[in-house]
Amino acid sequence: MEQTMRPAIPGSPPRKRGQPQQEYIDLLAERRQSSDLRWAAREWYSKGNYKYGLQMEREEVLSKVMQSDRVKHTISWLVNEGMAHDMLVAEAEGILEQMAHTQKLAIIRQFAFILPKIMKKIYSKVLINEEGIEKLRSTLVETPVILLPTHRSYADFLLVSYIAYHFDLPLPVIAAGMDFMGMAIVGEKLRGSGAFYIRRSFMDNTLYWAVFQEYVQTLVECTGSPMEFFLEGTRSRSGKSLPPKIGLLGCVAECWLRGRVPDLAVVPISISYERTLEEKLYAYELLGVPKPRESTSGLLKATRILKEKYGNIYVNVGEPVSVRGFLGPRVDRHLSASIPSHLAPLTKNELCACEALGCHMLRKIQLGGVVSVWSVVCVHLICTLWAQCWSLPFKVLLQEVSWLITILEKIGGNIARQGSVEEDIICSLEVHSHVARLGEDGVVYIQQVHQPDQQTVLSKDKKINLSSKTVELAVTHLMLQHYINHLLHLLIRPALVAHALVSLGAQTKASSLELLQSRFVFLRSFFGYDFIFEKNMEGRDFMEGLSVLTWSGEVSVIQGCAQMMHQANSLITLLLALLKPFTLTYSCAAQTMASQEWLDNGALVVAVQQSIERSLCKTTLYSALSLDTVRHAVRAVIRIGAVTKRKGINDQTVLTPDQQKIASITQVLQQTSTTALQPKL
Amino acid sequence: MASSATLRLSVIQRHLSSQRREEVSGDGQGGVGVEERCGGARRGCEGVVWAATGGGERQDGQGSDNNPLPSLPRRRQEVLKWNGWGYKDSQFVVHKEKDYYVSFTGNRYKIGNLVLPHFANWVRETLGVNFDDCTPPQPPPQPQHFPQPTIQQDFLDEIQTLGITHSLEGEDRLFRAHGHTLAEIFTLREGMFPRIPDLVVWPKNHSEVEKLVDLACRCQTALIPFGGGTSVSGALLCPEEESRMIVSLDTSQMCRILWLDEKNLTARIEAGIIGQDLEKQLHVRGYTTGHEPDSYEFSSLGGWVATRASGMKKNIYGNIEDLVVQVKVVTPVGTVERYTAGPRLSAGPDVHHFILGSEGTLGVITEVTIKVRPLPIIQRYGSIAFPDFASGVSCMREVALHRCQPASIRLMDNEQFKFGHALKPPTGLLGLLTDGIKKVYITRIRGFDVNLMCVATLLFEGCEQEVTSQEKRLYAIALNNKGIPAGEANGERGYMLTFVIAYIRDLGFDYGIVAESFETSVPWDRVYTLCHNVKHRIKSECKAKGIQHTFVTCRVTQTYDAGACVYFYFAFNYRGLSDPVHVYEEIEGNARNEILGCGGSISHHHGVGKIRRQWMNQTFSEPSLGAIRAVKQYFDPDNIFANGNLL
Repeated sequence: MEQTMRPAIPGSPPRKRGQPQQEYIDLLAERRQSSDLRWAAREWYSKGNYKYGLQMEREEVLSKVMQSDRVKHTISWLVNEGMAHDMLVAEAEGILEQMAHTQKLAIIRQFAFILPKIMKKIYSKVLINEEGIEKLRSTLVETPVILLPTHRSYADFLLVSYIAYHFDLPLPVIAAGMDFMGMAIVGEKLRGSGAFYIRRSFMDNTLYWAVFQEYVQTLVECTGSPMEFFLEGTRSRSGKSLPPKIGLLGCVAECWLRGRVPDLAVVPISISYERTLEEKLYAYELLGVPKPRESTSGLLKATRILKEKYGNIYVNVGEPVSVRGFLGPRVDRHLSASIPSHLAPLTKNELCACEALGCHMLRKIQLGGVVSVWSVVCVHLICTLWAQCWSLPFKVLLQEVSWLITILEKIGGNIARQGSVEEDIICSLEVHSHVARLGEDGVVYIQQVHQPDQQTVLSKDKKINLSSKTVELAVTHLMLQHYINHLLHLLIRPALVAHALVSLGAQTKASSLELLQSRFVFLRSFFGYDFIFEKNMEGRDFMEGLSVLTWSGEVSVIQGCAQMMHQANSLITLLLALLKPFTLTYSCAAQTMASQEWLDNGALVVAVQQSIERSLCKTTLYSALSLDTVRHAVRAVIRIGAVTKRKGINDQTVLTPDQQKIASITQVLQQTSTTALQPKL
Repeated sequence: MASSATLRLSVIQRHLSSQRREEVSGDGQGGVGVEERCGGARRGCEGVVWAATGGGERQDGQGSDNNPLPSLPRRRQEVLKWNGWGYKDSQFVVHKEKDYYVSFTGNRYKIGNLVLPHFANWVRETLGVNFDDCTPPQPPPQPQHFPQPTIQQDFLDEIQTLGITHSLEGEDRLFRAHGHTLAEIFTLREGMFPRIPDLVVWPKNHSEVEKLVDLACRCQTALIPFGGGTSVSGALLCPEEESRMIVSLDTSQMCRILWLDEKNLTARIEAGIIGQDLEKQLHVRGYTTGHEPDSYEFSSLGGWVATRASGMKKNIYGNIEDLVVQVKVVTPVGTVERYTAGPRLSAGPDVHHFILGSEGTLGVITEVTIKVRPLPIIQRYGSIAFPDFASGVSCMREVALHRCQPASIRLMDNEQFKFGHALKPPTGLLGLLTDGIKKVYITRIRGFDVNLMCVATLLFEGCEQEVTSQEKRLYAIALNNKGIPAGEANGERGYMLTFVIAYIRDLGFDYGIVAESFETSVPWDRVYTLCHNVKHRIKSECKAKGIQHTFVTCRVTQTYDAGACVYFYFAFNYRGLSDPVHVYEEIEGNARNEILGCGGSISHHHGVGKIRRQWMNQTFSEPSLGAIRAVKQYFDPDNIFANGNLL
């Protein structure tokens, strides 16, 4: 790593994104002063109920669903297909019974008693922007609200409900995966706190789909209870946003699209953990060790986490987004307004608009996230590892971290600052001492997390595709990468512009902005599964990225041409370095797929991962092994049409490579790695 | 303070003086005289009773036995307000004594000459009106203030030769430059239209219209037909970019009933007749058309046809398209008519439907054969109270399902119900007592919430037996839907208020309130959500624009087999806004977007005019609009009828 002073950053930031630093208050501060029991038993009623909402008992909701046009129609359609009416009714009732939530204040109170106890033990602070809460409250009165929290950990699950209890907000109903339901006691407790259970995939089950839609829409339209679900569908192991799942979002948006509610508000909630409970588990999962099934005994085993420290949680309740305002200009509601609404499934265009809404919300969620100082520290720790060192002087780390924090703040990142940078780094090293610790000699030592003898995490029956030597090193890399990923969304635009510049050879000659933008647009869409961008915002994203580079003084734009400046390019160097694990994964994926015809299944993913492992003898980019990125890369190669799909035996999809296209992709991806970035004097 | 008091005084002064003038000029006119004059003369005769008299013999302003004087003079501004709704002698006035109170002047309406003790308070609370802060309208323009007319000399010379009545006077031109949308009335009160008709002509019959249209084609002038002038779609506004002379063709002098055919129950009538005159004259003969749009005091037969009007009692008599048997229309390529009077035809697309709803873009409707019915033996009002709007809607739906609608059935929402109460005149001790008992009954015993309940008003027509059985059936359905009968008086008041409510806007203007109404039609399954969503949308748009005081209300005014007509009233306090008309138009535009998104239509009976043109492509597909364009192109290739409506 360079050890020279970073150049001072000239000029002003390209734009001021977001609000002035928000006020965060600590939920636990009060709890540490008073009795948890009294807190859980206090007089409680919600303030901010939907003004047109009806109080409906569970039974009323269920019978309304069963009596709905949609469910009745679906049943009679299936009867025509030759199924028995009574059986279908019984099946529908069974589905509902399994799905539906019950919300009992008593159970919420139990959680309100237990959760603070746990949280006080493992977290130092749970910080939340109170302003967002009050805005949410006033929105809840006006329109039905959809809450979209990030999903980084199981801890997310009841956090929003607990916050609602804390602030006397109406309690949300929460869409949960069926896997939770199996957990003894806990499954039913969650149901009692407002969770309803849905199967993981049911698109082909007509009756299930009808019952599910009707249930969700009845809750939204009639009760106006806030509806909470995870836009990303599952916990993001990598720490990056996952592509939005639009099933549930489309389902609730349909309430507005079919004119049954005047508007819906979607509220992004960004939950940022300084240390993720599952960090280690995720690292193994991303390498290919399957996650354990949710079980209560597993949960109890996890109680060892109670002995550790997990730092702070930041919860940012974002500005509500009006569904009408967002979808309104993108859809033509009148076109389907003359069809009975239960017979008018979402049109292609409407689904597309919902997807755009999903991406828009993810962007809002990202911008509301608070980046921990640890994330910034990780950037420099991983760079150290890439240089094949396992330690670095604290002084250097401090310098590097301070520099990057300045940049991140200027491009609009919210950095979780408590004291001076030095104090914050020391603090975060204490929380993450199992990964890196500060020695008394003023040197930061990176720890090897994986202990070869301690095989408990690796399940015995499942074979691991990677060598144990690789796993040994990769776990640490992936744990660092997890936190780096928390801040990548801030840097990805300038990083892709930088990559485009370098791949066009702009360090030696100027390159026209049109050419640069079209290269950027290609990269943006190619990496679109890994980094979520808003739809139809190519131009804005390009300008954002380019302006960061020009403002940092590392790129100049003259007469419609961009060129890299020759003196200093520490930012560009860093940006390109951060992209490297991804470009490596993507080019390995492309090359693997070019090597032969593949069936579109797990074998391909494994093969790509192994090809990455092979290439690691040349580099040390172990985080490239992440299966998450491998899967995204395979999908990306398919999406841009570098392979052609056809149906093979047993209806399996066969992927045939288009060598020319793949070659050109690899070229675009690899130019940074082949062309050395040498400042010329 | 002092200045606003003087302003207020000057307004009252103007109100008083205009009333006095009215009393003088109104002498010798009005409905009673007319009825007496032709009272029952040929009642009982069969066959054609009113033979057509030869065109053009009648002197202006004078009646004959066959053709009684119209209720409105040719110079309508003598009787009607030049810058507001309706008769000059009828209006809401604010008085100040210990406190402010409101009354309604004149004796044309039941509410007339009555003090309305609750109204001032309602206005203050709902719309935040400060009665000390009054903005009176500008005085009538001086002759030099009217836009200079564009004169096509050949045209003018020729109509003088032909002896067609005409006027170049500013007042006459201005009166025909507008309808009654909020924007138009606001312009009259505060400014001036950039373009008004250059000339007004009053043809007396079909043949004069033919001559005028022919002349307009030869001289390349624009013609804008003008009937009752009650349009609420901007249809009468002169397109600013029109460089030719614009001639307003006022049909008011074509107002005779040419004949009445009692065997077939049809009547041939000139299209310029206004509703009240048509009904008065038919009543004398023992008949009615049964067509009663809310504007029927002033709107004309031709206007109804041109806008596809709908009447309150359409359940019995049908809408205008059901009533019309034949029409005669002068277009630039000739006269459009269907020769047969057969009750139904299978002869290709019905040419009448080119004309119905053409909004003056194709030609001038001169004569209409329309169905008439014997007058009903009795009329009875009724009302039903519902605990909430949803129950009311489901009752309306059930009534439509069983097709047992009375002549009229309308459901007002809670806001309108409360508004109706605010307009109650003072009641005597007995009145208070019965009112009190009713309130106790409804709120305590039936458990209705005064802030949720709503009321349906009913009008029954027929013979005693029919009405009684209809009532029985209807109240049974109401009961099914948690509704309870709420008396005749409530019903009657509801219908009376329909006519009076149009006068309130002019009062509102004085105190910083703008108000407007708009309507739609919507399938049954979406009636409730449409009402709910549109009201919510309006309120949230207002909130977003920083408007604090709003009044939004709706009523379901018509029921059909497949849906209903919904009518919205919307008012807000615009103090503090620089351009209330623009703000209003934006909000109404968004309300219309919401309506279409919720499955409602562009309009049920107000028409498209200019202000709703932008939603035509969400109403019809492109080829459908192309067909409308092609029809226009065929009938009027030179765009003589250049009012720019529809497309």
